[in-house]
Amino acid sequence: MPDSRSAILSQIRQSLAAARLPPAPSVELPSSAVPPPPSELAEKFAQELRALNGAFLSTRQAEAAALVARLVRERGAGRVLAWGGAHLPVPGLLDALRQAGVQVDAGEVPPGPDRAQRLADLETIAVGLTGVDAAVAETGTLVLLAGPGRPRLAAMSVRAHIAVFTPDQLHATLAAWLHARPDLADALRARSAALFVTGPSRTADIEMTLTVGVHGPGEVIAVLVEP
Amino acid sequence: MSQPLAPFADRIHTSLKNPVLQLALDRNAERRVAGRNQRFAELPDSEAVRDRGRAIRLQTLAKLDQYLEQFTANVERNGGHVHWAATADEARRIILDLVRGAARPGAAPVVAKSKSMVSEEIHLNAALEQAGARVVETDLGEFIIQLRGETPSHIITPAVHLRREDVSDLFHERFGAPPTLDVEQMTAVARRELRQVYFAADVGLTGVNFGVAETGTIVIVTNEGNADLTKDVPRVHIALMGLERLVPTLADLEVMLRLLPRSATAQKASSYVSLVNGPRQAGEPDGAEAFHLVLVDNGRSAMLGGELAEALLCIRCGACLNVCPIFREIGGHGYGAVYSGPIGSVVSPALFGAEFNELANASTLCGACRDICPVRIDIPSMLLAVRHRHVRAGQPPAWLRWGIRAFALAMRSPALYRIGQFFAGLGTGLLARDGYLRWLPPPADAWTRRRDFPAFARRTFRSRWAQRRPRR
Repeated sequence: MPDSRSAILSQIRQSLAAARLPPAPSVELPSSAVPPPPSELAEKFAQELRALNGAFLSTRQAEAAALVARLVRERGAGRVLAWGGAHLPVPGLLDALRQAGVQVDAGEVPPGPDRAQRLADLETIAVGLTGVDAAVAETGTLVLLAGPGRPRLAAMSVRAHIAVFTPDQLHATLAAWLHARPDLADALRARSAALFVTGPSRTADIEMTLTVGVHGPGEVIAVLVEP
Repeated sequence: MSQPLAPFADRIHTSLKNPVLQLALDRNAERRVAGRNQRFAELPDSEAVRDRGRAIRLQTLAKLDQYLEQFTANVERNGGHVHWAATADEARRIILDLVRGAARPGAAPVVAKSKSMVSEEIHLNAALEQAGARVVETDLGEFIIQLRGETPSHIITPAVHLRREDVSDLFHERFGAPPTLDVEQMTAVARRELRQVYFAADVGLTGVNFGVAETGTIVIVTNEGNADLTKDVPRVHIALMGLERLVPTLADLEVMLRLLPRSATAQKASSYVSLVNGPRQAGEPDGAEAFHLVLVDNGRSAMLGGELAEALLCIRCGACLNVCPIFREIGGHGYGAVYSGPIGSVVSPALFGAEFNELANASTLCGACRDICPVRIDIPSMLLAVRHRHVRAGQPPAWLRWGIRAFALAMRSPALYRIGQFFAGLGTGLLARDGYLRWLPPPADAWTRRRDFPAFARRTFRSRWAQRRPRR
């Protein structure tokens, strides 16, 4: 209701005129130091992700497709819910999977009456395959922006999420990535969503006992592809 | 809407007499506080990060009107709909309309819901159910307590008061799950049940941890990933947000994301941080087709101009609950308010009125809440301010009001003071044995039932002093 909007804003202005807020401390955080070399970043990333029950593998460009195919097969999955080939850092990865007998689903959910049925079908896919927009070493975090060719469910509805990325996508901290992407605010406005994933889905709601895979993937497998 | 509350003292006694709750609260407090301290010790410049977090929140509140205009304009530009709700009632009506509009013709609407304190604040579930909707909480802890018909006992770990046996019994009864003490198996039952909910839901309803003004982004933080499925699978996403939860920029968000998980769950990062910019755009394969943001005031804009305004800095991490010696004894239910613990004892009277003033008495004013707060909210000072309100409104019981008045009178009058001393010495001298009172008549037996009281000296200091003084 437009009435409530103006009423609320005018009450806020009235309250601010009587402002009794304490003064804000003035402090600037030191901007991130010189980034450590990529090899150290990869090691730190692996250590953090493993500490959260995530998996980290590294491979060479030439072996990447075979590795991913093996990961899919090991999970008994005949289908993967995958980002489009243009959004994966390994050329020909999806073709290699198809050749290995794996069906690749692009996760398109057209609006309309068949939406629910299509979603129910996607829900049965056990493995998701994505690229990343950044990987954060400090926390073992994967950053995924939504967009065309990038189904979000590939990181959420599946039991195992495989994320493939390259060393140049590694950043020391989230702050360092934001710093490296001054265009991010604009880039984000052009997308409907982004997701920072740090390890598998977890809960400690029953007697503070840690359990993974409560809603999202129980397995997060980060695959670093060296040139 | 809700049942009348038992008196505060009775609620406290109920909590104290529950051994399961006592054990759970102790374990929760010890683990969370130790973990939180370790995470902050590892964080470089942690004190400066806290100062920065406080500055960000203060600067946001100081220009809240401008940031709200910027934020909502950006949400709308991204294709989202913004609804302003001045009161709880207006928020409920807006959401009911949206939910009815999203339902399949002729079918009862199904709402998948991830955790939202604002929804608790406006008693949304009851209103939706009354309107014929099926509402299912998807956070595991919330799911459990919803099935049991309870309210959260902690804002971060809502089912902290339950044992695994309770959950096993519940899942056995409701879903025919085999009884088990294996938490992993119970979690698998919840996963199976809730998957069906996401995929059947017409609406996904989530809370909001932060709104970013410069991009019009809402940010939802979970470990389970339930908010992500809630917002991405159903056709319509409704996000419910307290209007103070803004930060100006993405860089500011990053600072808050360093503070929140460390304070709330002793993690460096939560498993899922979801940024929502609006509905799915053309060409995107999945996501909600409509996005509605409901901005809830419900007393916040007025609170901003008062002596409790600083409590609006709160990022709902729950650290002050974990560290509070009172919360640790009585738990969330003891407070009888949606927001419990030290910060709840300020926010509840500020938002919901004078009937919650008495919560501020449940504090030792030890200051641990202020010390642990990631944005350094001066909670003890505001607890004192609420106590003043309590007294000014004449809310303390008559015996206390008159007792304090009599005490004040005696303390101002040397003659009355002397008479008081004489009777105190005489009376306690008659009742005491070995220098201690072991029994006093009601209402003073409230003290002596648990503690002895030292007898007053028979001769006062002043009379002894008068004797010892050398005479001229």
